[in-house]
Amino acid sequence: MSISHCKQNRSTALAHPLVLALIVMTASAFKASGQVTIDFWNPDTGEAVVKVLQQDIQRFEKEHSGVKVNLVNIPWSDIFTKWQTGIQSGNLPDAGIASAAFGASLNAQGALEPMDDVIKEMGGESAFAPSAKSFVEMCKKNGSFFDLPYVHNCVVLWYKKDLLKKVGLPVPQTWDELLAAAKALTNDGVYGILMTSSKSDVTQHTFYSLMLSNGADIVDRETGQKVLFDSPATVETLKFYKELAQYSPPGAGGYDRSEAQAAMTTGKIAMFIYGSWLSGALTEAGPDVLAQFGVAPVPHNKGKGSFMGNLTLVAFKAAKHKTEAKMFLEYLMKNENYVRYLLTDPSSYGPVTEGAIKDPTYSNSPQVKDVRDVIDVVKAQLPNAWVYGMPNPHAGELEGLNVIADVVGRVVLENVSPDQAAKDGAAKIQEIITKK
Amino acid sequence: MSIAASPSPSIPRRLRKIAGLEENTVGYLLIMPTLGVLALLIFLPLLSVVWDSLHNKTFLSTSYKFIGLDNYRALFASPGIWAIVIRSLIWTLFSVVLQVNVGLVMALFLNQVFLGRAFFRGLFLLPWVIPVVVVAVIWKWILNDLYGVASDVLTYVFPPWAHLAWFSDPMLALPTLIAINVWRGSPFTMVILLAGLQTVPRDQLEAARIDGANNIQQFRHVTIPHLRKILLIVMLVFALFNFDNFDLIYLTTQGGPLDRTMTLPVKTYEVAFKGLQVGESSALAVIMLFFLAILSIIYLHLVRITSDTRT
Repeated sequence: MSISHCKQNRSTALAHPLVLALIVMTASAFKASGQVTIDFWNPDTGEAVVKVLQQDIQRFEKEHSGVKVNLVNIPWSDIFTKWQTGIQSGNLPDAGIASAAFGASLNAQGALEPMDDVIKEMGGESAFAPSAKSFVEMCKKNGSFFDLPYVHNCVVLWYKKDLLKKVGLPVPQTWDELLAAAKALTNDGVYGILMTSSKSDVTQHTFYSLMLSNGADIVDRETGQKVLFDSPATVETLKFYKELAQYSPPGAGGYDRSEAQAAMTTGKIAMFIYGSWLSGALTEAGPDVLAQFGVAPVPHNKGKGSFMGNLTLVAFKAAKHKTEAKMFLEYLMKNENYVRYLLTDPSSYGPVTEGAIKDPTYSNSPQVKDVRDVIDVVKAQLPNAWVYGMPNPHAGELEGLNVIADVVGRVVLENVSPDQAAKDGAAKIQEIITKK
Repeated sequence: MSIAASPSPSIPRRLRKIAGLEENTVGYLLIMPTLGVLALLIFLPLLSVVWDSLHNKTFLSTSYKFIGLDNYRALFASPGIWAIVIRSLIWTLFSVVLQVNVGLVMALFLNQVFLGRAFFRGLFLLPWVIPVVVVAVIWKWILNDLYGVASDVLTYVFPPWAHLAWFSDPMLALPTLIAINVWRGSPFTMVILLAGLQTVPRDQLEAARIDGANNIQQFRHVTIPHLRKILLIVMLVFALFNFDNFDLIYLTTQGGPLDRTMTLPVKTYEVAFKGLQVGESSALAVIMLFFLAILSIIYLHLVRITSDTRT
């Protein structure tokens, strides 16, 4: 070993205690200053949303010295796996954005902190708008909130105004009217209605909305444990879906979300039972495209309702800084911050609080005025809207595995009898919800 | 026997043993870092997958227990699994055979001397260099029945096919995907086979021609025997690539319609990340590994035969 090596090693050895001391001192200084950092996982990674959240965080940190918020953007496709691995490794964030279905799953695993104190600070349950009633119910278990309802939307009937006017038919309100309109509108390269049967959320949203509008459901709403999918009402919905599918483009069996949205901008589709969030794609397609479409509640038969999309706020039991995490969630729900979030996409982000709905910054904003008709129809439908599989904690898996879309596909593409497909679907759902 | 290999009678056996040991030790030490990396990145995850496949582990619970081969029994008892295995093999077989044949035709074409050959070599390689996500988007757009280019063209050329549901017709979806996979994979086989074609001895072709062999006979009796080993290796490597293919299928059909394009990798992903069943998906991964191991063993055997023949 050379002398220079010896010297170097000795100096390194001397430096070690110094470095350690410096690290300890810095850490102590941070602790003494009361610096707290909370991790916030956000799966809603759209540019506008992230920007608003970043601004909220900056303001929050200014108003709450000593608290830092670390915003971690994780796309929806990865977030559930991240939560689950987080639960198993004990490496969860302090808080984040989730959904009712994912919240139910996390709560069933004992991972969530009750949100009752946050809701109390917001003014109690009465702070929520009547339109958010079913959403609020979904976020509770045994009278206690495990999720904080954040925003919601639902599936509606989109129709092309000029095409409907051309055939002289009113906007369909019942199943019979919907079928008649689909038939009348199918001609000259135009298809009466878009009915996908692909293994995708589009098929599930449309079919589940029709199920609700016929009084059917997947599981009971009391316990979430009783599978109702093979009921006569579901079988009837499957038959109706197949009837409507004959007025749909032949390739619609394979359309996923982006293809379905693109198909709507071609002008060749007259109607589509789909989420209020379609307005975003229609607006992007051109300045007048959205104006060509009208919206109405999902036509009903023996029931009422449609699929509800939603976001919730959650705090984790394993959080290191629960108090600060909940303070941040309360801050996000403060009217001025909440309204900024809602305005990033008003047709997708429906408000849950009465305060936000009545806030003139929200109601008089140009963004809201542009999609006022969509917002009104959504608001009218929301009390009857629901999330499939809820309140069963396996609702998220039912969605992820496209169980309902598979059933629809078998009936529409493979001509399996609706009775048989519903029975098989119910058995599959039973298998999933009984898995530990 | 070479001189280096013969033990020198002047060195005592004990010393020779120590020297040999030292030589081995140095060798082992030198491969240690690589072995370490391999253990961390390949063997440990592999063992972990096998271990998980013997447990009822899910992403939904922190507790799980050893269940032996129950995951495998449940999988083999489920009605759909054999269809998925057979479909995976069909997908692999047709993809490989077509990719190699189309690649060979393209290579033969580009092996000719003509103006603009370099341009065509670049052009033919394009499908391979395009990212697979772009390939999926392009073909989904081209073949869309409502606004796709293919639909517009077929309206004039062959109207009965103008509005075919390429991705959603249960009979058409798998052939459509295989065709896209061939379009994407053939350029790469072309490059390898073109390199092989350029090593075919000109004098042998010349001799065959002088003996009266026409182009087809030259190809059959000179070119193909020369390319045989390359062809075999390409076929096996592409069999591995294709059996393992997840991205193209998932990005276009997600295994649908009605599981008609569902292969083992897509099913494994679905069970793991949508069904959240770690144990079951690990068992599927091990089944996949079994097929891949067979292909790999054949491949390694062929490589050894090839290198033995060369030496």
